Amino acid sequence: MTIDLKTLTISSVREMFKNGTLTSEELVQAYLDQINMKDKDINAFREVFADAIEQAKKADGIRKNNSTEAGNMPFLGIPFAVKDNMLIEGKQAGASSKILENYVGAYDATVISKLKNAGAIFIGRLNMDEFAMGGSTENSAYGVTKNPNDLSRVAGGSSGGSAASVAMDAVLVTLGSDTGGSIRQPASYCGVVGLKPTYGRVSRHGLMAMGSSLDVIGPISKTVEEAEEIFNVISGQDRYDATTLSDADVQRMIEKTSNINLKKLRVGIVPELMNMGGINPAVLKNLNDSIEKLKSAGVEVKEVSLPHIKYSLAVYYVLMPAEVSSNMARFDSIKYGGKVEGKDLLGDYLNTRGELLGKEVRRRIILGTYVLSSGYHDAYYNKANIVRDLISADFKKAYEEVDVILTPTAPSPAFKMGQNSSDPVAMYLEDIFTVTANLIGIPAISIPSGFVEIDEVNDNGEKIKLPLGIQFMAPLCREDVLFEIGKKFKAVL
Amino acid sequence: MTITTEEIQKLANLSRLKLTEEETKQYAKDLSGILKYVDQIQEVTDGVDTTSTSLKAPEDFPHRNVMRDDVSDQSLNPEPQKLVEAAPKYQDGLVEVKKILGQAE
Repeated sequence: MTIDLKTLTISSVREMFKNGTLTSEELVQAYLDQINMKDKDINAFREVFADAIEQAKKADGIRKNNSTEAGNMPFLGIPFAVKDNMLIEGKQAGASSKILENYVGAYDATVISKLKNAGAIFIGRLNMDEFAMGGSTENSAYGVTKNPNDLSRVAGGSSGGSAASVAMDAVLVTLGSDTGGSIRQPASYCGVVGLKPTYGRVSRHGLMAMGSSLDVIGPISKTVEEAEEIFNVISGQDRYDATTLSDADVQRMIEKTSNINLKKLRVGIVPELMNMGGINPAVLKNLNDSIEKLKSAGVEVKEVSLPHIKYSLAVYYVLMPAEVSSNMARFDSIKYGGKVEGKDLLGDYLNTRGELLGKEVRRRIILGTYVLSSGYHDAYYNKANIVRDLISADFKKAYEEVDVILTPTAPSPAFKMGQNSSDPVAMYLEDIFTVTANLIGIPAISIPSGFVEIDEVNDNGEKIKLPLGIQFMAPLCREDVLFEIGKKFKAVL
Repeated sequence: MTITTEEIQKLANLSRLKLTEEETKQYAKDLSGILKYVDQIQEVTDGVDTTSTSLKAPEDFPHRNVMRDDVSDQSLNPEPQKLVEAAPKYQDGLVEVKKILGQAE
């Protein structure tokens, strides 16, 4: 049977499973065929799990033989794939780094066990920038993930495999992680939906740490509805992650913004960001078109001021490397993964970390060590924390006037491979719209907002169209606002 | 702010990274560029007291630092043997490391 993979969603698949027109085994086989056909060019997958079909058969068996159990499993037989920095017990997880080659997860990450309990199956692990440090997957030790819309361009990053695999119809839905835009930016480059939840709403247990005050796991999917459904399953307090929010915490946060009327959302736009230059004209035009579409749907759009937001990227590139330098200290050639022998213990450290960690990871460790060193700690680390609070206060004020803030997701469409790799600052500027949500913990979503046609043709002689995305940022714990505005926007797109 | 190759070498030693001469030069150039960009935070002077460590939670956020009592809770750990087996070298259920005491002068 032929399956139209392009139009499948979690709910349509569930319906087909239910009325017997599709089995999980058939669906997984269709995805494996698609991976076989396309992934040689794209390189989204680090590994396709050998037991994928086995897992699907087991799910089909539960559906057939135990309807009570099946009824309690919303994702029974639904194929997921996850970024290579989340642990699945018994499966390799390497963060696309040589230092974790052949490392096998000793337990399930909390998000994985929650999805398993819901019946989900896992068909593979996905390419990424090494330890999630980068915006293009060019920092993967296993080659770049190419953009399904144009093979000369990057899929974005760091969750490039997670976005490209959904865009190329090689899996239904995926998980990524987002420290400064790593779910939203590749989602935007590949034309899919990417959600960064509120910090603390999704457990980080079993996620390899990058910036511990910034990291969060979230879904990548074709539709807002799927992102919402996955978020509902993976979120919640977890005793293995002390920073997760309790239901009472979440309730308390929601009460603070109880004036929000989901039927009459007010959208804020930020002139300070739009006028600072460096934004691709096609992105600006797309944003303005998107604003018009929202207005036509009866949404109120007004300008708000965020005076300190222009410092977000600078603040991020102090705090993130500081946290990276601490987190990466655990890779010491003793506890996990690879080892390059030296003449003594110090030699083991120097050789292993020098040879098995990639260029960008080492750059950030050195930068983090610098901003935390005595003499510079006050000027950089402390100052950045202060500005972080000022940005947070700006948003609090803005949210008195609007319910959600709109920006482009990235300042450009997907860029050419190699274009930004010689200049780290140029690469970092791709994060300019996304880092703020991580700094202040708020939830944000990237929604496809159309395409820009460029003056190049693909192998079939057709003009290449690159996807663009817009980002909505809501107050803490108001993911519901993102889902509402996202659905509204997609309806008028 | 310009970073010298000597400073890079010092930072690399502190963070236990062996660098080639070529890499040292490249990182000196990269870090100087990045610091030039991040130095714009120095313009901000409102509400700033850099003598405080500022690790207070923002008023709005439920928490920033979370502590628990320093007691052993075995139920938090997965099977220890599996963790030991993740080490590059282990023997008899223990992680193996190079000798660090009693080395010859």
